[in-house]
Amino acid sequence: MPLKTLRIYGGLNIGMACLYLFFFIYVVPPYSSALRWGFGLLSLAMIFTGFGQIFAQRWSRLFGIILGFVLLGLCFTFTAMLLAAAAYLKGVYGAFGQGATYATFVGVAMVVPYFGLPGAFGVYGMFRRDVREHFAR
Amino acid sequence: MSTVQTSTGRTSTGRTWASPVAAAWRQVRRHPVAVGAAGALLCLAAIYYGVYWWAYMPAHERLPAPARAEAMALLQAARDTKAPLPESPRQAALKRKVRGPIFVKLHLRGKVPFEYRSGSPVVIWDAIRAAATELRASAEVSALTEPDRRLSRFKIDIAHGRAPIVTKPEILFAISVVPGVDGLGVKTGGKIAYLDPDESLRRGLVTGYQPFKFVKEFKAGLHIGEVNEYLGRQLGMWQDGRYRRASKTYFRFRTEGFVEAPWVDGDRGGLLPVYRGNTPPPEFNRQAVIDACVAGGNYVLRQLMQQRGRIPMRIAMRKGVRPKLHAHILGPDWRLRTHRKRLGFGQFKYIYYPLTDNFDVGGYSLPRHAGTTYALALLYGKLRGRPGVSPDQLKKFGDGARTAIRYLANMVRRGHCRHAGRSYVCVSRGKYTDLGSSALPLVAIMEYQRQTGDRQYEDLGRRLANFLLYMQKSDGEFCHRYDVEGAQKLCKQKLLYYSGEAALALALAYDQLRDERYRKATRKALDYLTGENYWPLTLKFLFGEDHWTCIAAEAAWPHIKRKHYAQFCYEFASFQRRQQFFAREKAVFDYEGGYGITPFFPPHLTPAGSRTEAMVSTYDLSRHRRETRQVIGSQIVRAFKYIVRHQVRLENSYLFVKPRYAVGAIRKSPIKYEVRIDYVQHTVAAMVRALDLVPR
Repeated sequence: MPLKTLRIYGGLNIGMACLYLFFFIYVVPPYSSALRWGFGLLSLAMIFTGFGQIFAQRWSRLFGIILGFVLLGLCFTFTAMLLAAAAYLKGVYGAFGQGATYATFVGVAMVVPYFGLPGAFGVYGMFRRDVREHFAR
Repeated sequence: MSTVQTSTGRTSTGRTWASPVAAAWRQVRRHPVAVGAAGALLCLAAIYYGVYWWAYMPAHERLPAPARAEAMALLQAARDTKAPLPESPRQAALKRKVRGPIFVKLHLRGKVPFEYRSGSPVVIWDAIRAAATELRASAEVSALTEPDRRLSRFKIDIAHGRAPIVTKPEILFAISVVPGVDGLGVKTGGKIAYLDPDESLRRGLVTGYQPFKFVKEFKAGLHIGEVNEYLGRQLGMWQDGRYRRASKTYFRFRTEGFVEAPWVDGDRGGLLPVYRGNTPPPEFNRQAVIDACVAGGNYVLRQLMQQRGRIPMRIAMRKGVRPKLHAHILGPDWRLRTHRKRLGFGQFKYIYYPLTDNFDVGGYSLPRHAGTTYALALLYGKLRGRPGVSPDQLKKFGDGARTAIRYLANMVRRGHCRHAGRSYVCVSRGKYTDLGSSALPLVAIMEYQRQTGDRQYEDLGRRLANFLLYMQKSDGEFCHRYDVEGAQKLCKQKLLYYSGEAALALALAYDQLRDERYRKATRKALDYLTGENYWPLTLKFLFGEDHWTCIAAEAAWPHIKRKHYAQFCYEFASFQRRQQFFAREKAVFDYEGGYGITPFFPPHLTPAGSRTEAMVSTYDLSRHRRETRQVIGSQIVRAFKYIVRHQVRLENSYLFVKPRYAVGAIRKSPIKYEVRIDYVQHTVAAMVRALDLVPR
């Protein structure tokens, strides 16, 4: 059972990493090279951890937890940046406008499933009782 | 595990009651997810409100009207008389110290022969008096002739507050200044340079940022490069590159601006408050809208060539930069080259730039020419009998429409789109033409005939209508391009607006010519435009540019009565209404009635006109069907308010080279000083068709 769980979470990590690579290489490649490198490294780390989890490597649980928190942190950071930009513009203009509000919601609605949910699932999976007991043996 | 606290500070379980922190930590360990989520949400809320208050600039107490008048009177005395200047103010408000600086400028024919900027902070009276003293000493002002003195207008800007701005990312920096309302300042090496709101408008610096590198046409926000050059030159740090290397802190500041009223009929009125380069609009009522229509029509007539001739078109050039039209005030390194462009009889001077008194006739559009002609015909017919509109004025509009139609008729006569054995002709210029270049001329001719009863262009109209029949496909849609030399329709390329324009043209043609083929073609076109055209799933939630479709649906009434068209237009109106600015949005009160999605980009005037044309037709359609939609009526009136507010008047043209020439013009947007003929066409055509909706 824990092996099956590990394979599922490993697959999830690899799948999301491929999605990030596709998204940030083909769909919206960032102009900043630091961001390009950051997302590249994050994706590689996720693929590496994913394979570790599929093959039930002990280190992969720790890596999975760290990656989960990194994704949760990214979700928080991006949401905070979107909200800060919205607050800043509302401060400057005195109004934000419906269109811009919708655009911010769309931004948050994209950040949560792309970063927040995979991060939360990853952390949850690695803290499951069967996974913990499997690696405690 | 539950615990009970005792009066001795111990718990019933026997453990020491350490501190609330320990208890809180226990709760965190018990519900980590809930606590984490709540903490994250609290942090986000704190970030939101923290940033908001950091960027917010509170409103400041304004100068009372008598104090403003006294300040302006001091400057006028310095300019117009030799009397000694008073040492102290009568109004106590002028003794107030403000954040500053205070800008005083004298505007004359698009130039600033005198300007003064105070230090910061400053006592208002001290600044104004210093400006007046400097003005007296100015050789340039002393040399002004009497007519120039009368034409010149003082503008005072008092900076009350300032707030920090961010410079990264660049896009946020570009929209960190409320266009036309805020100024920008930069502090570097103990020195400060300012870009005041008027200067940002004159130089086109608030409409220069290109947020998407792949969409060159879309520009909004600060032109960061040129803004830095302006500020750097002010500090004397630009040429040697010191400005670029220096560490800089930018801030925005907001001013209270007021301008001298223009000299009219031997009298200069009071002071006018200025917001976003605009003065308060006339009181909104039906007469104001009629006057706006007449002024717009007269502006269009001034652009109409009454004989062949050449007009100057100035191009600005600078080493290493692509040449551009001289549309704004430029820096010292620019050189100007004048081209004299030939225009034919009956052509319009296509685009006018009032800040530099320059024209652009490149890319002259036949559909826009015809659309403007249609607006003149409407003015002729719809203003008849209205108060304040003389028969002589009406005649001018009628004659103007006829002259502009003659230009189109000449295009047909000289063009190659006349084929032996075919019943149609089209308006063309060159090897290819498009549907709109024949559809809108037909609209103009039929409207002219309907309003004036003059049938001299009826035959041309019939042959243009036959061209539209030829271009229609079996499903009701039209082919949009035509190979003139090969006499072939080209159906691959689909262009904006043309199908709706063709539907309207056919509807008007049926109304005037009563040829059953036109009625059937109109019906087919409208069925397609309101039905099959919207089959993709995404278009079930959105609308395209369908304003011509709704105008056509109303023009087809009562010959074609389909409930479906009315429903389509009601939905279209509702979709547009969601994008309209309302008065309740106080921060952008001057956008009320305009169509836009965010206050960062001031709404353009043309959509306020073109969409309102469709709304007028939709409202009329609802009346014909005895299901009057008042909500659309209110939507129309709001848009009229927006148009009237931003139309060029003598009062709000203090930045222009030829204020009287530009009166009646409709600018691209409140901050874009470009007047293309169709901006006036759409707005005037909308207003003149719904005058009765406006309260007296």
